[in-house]
Parts: sequence; C-alpha cells; structure tokens
Amino acid sequence: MPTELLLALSGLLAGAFGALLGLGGGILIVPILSLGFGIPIASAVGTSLVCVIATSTGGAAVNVAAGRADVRLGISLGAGTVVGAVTGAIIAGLLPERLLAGLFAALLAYTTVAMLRGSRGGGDPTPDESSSDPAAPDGPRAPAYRGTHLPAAVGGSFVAGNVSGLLGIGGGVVTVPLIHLVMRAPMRVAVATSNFMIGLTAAAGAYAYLFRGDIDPREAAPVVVGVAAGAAIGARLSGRIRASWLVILFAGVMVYVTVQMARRALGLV
Amino acid sequence: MEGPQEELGRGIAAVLRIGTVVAVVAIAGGLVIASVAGGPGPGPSALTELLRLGGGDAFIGAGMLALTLTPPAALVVAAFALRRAGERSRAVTAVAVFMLLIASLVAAALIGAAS
Repeated sequence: MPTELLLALSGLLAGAFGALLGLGGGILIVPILSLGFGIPIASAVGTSLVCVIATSTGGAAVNVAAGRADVRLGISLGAGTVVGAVTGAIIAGLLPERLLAGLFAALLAYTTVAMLRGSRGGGDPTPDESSSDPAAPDGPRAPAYRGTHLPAAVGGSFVAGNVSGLLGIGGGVVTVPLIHLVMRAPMRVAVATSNFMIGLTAAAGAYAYLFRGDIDPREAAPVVVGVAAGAAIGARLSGRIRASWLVILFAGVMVYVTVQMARRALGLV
Repeated sequence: MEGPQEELGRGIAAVLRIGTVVAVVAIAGGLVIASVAGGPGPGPSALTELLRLGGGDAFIGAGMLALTLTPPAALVVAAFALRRAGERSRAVTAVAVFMLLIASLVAAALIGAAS
C-alpha cells in the first residue's frame, strides 16, 4: 500500500478517534507519525499542529454559530496562548529529539490517567470539544456566570500555548480546566471556548514549523485530509458507540504508545 | 433583524467554515496533482520554497497557509462585529491578538529565510 494512503488512513483513524473521545487529535498524530512512520518528532509536531487547526476550526464553526463558546473570553485568553505557542515552537527547535520524546511520554501518561479517572467517575472521559449545550454565554439562555481571575487565567493560557507549540497538541488539556476551575465557567462553555482558542494557538505555533522547513508536504497532506475526514465521521458516530468501550481501547493504545515514547526518550529504540 | 451577538457568532463561524473547506480542498487537490505528476517529493521544505516550486506541492503549501490564516481571519471579523456592538476594548483585544499572530508569521518567515 502506498505510504500516502497509509498516512491518510492513520489521519482518518486519529481524527475519528479524536472526535469520538473529544480530543483535538494531536495527542494521537504525533506518536503515529513518529513511532509508526519514523518521521522526526519536530516534523510530526509541525504536521500535528496543522491537523489540529483543521479539527479546531471545523468544530469551532459549529460551537460559535450556536453561541456555545464565549468568544470574548477566548479572544482575551488567546493573547496568552499565542505568545506561549510561539515560545514553545521556538524552544522545540532547540531541544534534542530524545528530550521531546520524554516530554511527550509524560504528557501521554498524564492524559491517560486523567481519562481513566474521568471515566471511572462516571463523567465525560475527556473534555468533549464538540459537545453541545443549549445554554451558552452569548445565547438567549446564557448561564449566569462571571469569569473570575482573568490575569491568572491569561498566565495559565501562556502555559497551554507553550505545551501546544512544544508538543503539537491543541492545549485543551490545560485550557479546559483553566476556564472551568479557575474562571468558574460551566464545563461545556469551557470546552467550546477552548475549542475556539485551539485554532489560534495551533496557528501561532505552526508558523515556526512551516517556515523553518520542518514539514514534508507529501507526508503532511494525506494526514491533514485524513484527519479532517475522520473528525467529520467521528462526530457523526458519536452517541452510537459506547464511550466506555472506546476509553478502554484508547487507554490500552495510550499505554503502549507511552511506553514506546519513553523507550525512545531513553535511547532504547 | 440580526443583533450584534448573532452577527458576531455567524460571522466568525462563516469564516472558519469557508477557510477550513478551502484549505482542505487545496491540500487534497495538491496531493492529487503531485501524485498524477509522479516523481519524488521535495522532502521537508520551508513554506516559501513550496510556493516557489509550483505544481501540487505549491497547492499543498497554499492550503496549509490558508488553514493557518483562518483563525486570524476570524479575529478580524470578530473585531469588526465587536466594534459595531460598541465593545471597543474587546475589539482592540481582538486586533491585538491578530497582530500577535501576524507578527509571529512574519518573524517565522524572516527567520526561515535567514537560516
């Protein structure tokens, strides 16, 4: 099978899984490209950021039109994530491959544990970036909440951007808890707002990778197309597949990928 | 008549939707053109180099650029809508974030060209 087709299928799988589990997809794309196709991590991270923009803008278009996302808050926090993402992308270009692999292994381990804990608690396994809520900050049934601790949240969003630019993920693992727990916004508003912010964050990080010449167009193109198609398919399938099965399957894959990434960090593969 | 809130949401959503579709179509089209033309790919290349190459790889590069420009374009629409709604400070924030994104693009292009 041609490599382009395999890359497109991998992107399709990552996009569908991401949409079903409420992830941007970057957490899957980087290990798939790096471990499965032997693509250098810097290139995998750059490709992942471009893919993450596609999934974010597609989902955010729906959330913003329906008034689920707090656009004003997203723009305010966007200043922090944009600066953070640029910083992260610059730092990534200076770090050795093994250190990046180690950082990514730590991120994977954290995400897996958080997902399993959320699942056991009976709540959403992960922040659902495509979930809907009729009560929205800009909508006619807006929930009565007032964002608090804005300066702290802008500082936290810098960290989210930094992680995004460094490791090629959307940064939702940081921004959703930040908006929900620090700013006291309802969970679904936090998820929708984070989804809107991810596009801004990933774009800021992607410029460094695109202009530095880290991305191979023939490798990136099939993945981006696959991820966009997979995200649309996953969104349609969500609700028809039991989330608990997906979480168990996904956790198994994540544990395997974490171990492989850790082995790469230690120079064992 | 459409209120400022609805105008803000609809405007941003339209830009995000159109930008995503245009970018993904350009990338897919570029991949098809490159496959039909055959030959080896350019390998990891800077965006400016891809656009200079022409053919399918240039389409892929243009598509990726369009995708990365979609979120900043949504900020421009947001800034205009917020200004019309009388939220001047929020409009200024949107413009400031837009300027940060454009500055990061220009800086990345200059650093990439110099290296």
